[in-house]
Amino acid sequence: MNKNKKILVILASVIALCVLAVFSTLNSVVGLDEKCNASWSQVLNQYQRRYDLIPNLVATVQGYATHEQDTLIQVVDARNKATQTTLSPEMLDDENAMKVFMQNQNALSSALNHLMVVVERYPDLKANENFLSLQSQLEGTENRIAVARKDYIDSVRLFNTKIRMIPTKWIVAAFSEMKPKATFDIEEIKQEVPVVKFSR
Amino acid sequence: MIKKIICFVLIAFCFVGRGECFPALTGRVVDNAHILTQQQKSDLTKVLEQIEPHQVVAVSLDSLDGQEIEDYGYQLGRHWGIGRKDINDGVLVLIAPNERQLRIEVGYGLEDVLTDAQSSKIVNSVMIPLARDGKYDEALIQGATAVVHVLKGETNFYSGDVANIEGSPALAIVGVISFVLFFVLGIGLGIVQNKCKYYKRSSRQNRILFFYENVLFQSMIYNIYVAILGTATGSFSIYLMVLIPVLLLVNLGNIRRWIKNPRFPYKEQVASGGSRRGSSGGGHSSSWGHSGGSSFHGGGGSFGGGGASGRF
Repeated sequence: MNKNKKILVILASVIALCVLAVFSTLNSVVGLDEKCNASWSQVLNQYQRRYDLIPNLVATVQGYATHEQDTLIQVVDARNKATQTTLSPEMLDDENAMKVFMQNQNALSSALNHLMVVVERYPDLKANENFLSLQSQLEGTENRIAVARKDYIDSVRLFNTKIRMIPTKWIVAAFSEMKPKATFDIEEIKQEVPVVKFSR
Repeated sequence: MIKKIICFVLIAFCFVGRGECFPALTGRVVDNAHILTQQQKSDLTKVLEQIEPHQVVAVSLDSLDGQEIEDYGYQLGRHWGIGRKDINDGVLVLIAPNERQLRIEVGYGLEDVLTDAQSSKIVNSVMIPLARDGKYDEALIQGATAVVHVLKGETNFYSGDVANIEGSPALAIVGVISFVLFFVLGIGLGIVQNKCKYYKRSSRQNRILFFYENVLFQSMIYNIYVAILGTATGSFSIYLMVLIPVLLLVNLGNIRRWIKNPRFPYKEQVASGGSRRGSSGGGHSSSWGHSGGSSFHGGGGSFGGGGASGRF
């Protein structure tokens, strides 16, 4: 009787500790997962902000830079193409979808980049208040995109590291369907941020 | 004694591991490049104080550690936690004379008021001309003052403010409530123990001592729990799951003796509980964060890369 009680107490403690470990592991993985989703939403947010800026920007540039139709059409096309590919937080573990999404965004970035280089030739446009405001907003948005992307990469790194580690890997495999998330190279960021120079 | 040490180590762990190479936040004006006089510093500080509860910090940087000011700026803002938590209403006005870069870094919460276009205007028409003439001190002062003017122009701080301000006290209230809850739980357990026949046999003094020990010991475990999770709002079930095995493990010796000998004297346990009593008192307030004090520190705001920058 006495011995049984003792064993029972120890067994209960061990089971309680195991259950606790599983719970806390799963909770922390869920927390990291949510963080990835949140930072991805922020990335989408900032890309949306860029989409919203483009119509105004194109309209303003069109009024001055009449010989740059090709560049403007490129920007509009790239925007249309980019808006067609969406990537919801549930699809973040899809490497290919992420690749396509980023390709389209990078194409838009380089089209905008080209536009901003081209407009350097139009002093009238560069003196326009409206254009200057749009230009600074675009610059700010590109910077926000860069920050949001870095935050996303960081949170994915934490998440992927966590769910690939040994006890966590087993627990996650047994109790949930979470997979490592797709990410992208930080190098792309440097290529895509347009160099927007201010008038001196 | 061992529990005391473990408790301290656990709490100490919460404060280490954030050592990056950012300058210290010494006040509303951080003059790391030594471009301001003492008088200018205190004048500028007064200007920046006007805009409370928003937090505007003027910074001159000796070095950007090889980064661009856009990368450095938001990281510095996050590191210091400028702006109130969850409102993120902080602004950094930065100048790096050595790298010839400057920037206005705007927290998420002020991006509507201090838009990129406005920041860019301040940067390009106020700060850059002064900085080009080598008047770095004036560039910083005028830039920061212009930021304060823009923020002041917004007479009613947006409606989100009032609701969000409640955020951090609410957390504290949850903490207090849960603490009270565990206190009550402790008392309940004490009452249950009162009914125990072995317990009834012990002296009145010992009973009172054990009663307090029980309550204090639980609050100590709760302290550790809060210190580990870094929050006062952990779920109750997890807490219980921590508590029960810990209680069992800690009392394993007593339980074993009690199993062997149901008449196991109560006195012994009270005596061994002495060290527990001492360790529980102070630690709890640590989860509430710092309050008061005249010195300036960040409110925990974050930055998302808003603002504008320029090279001169």
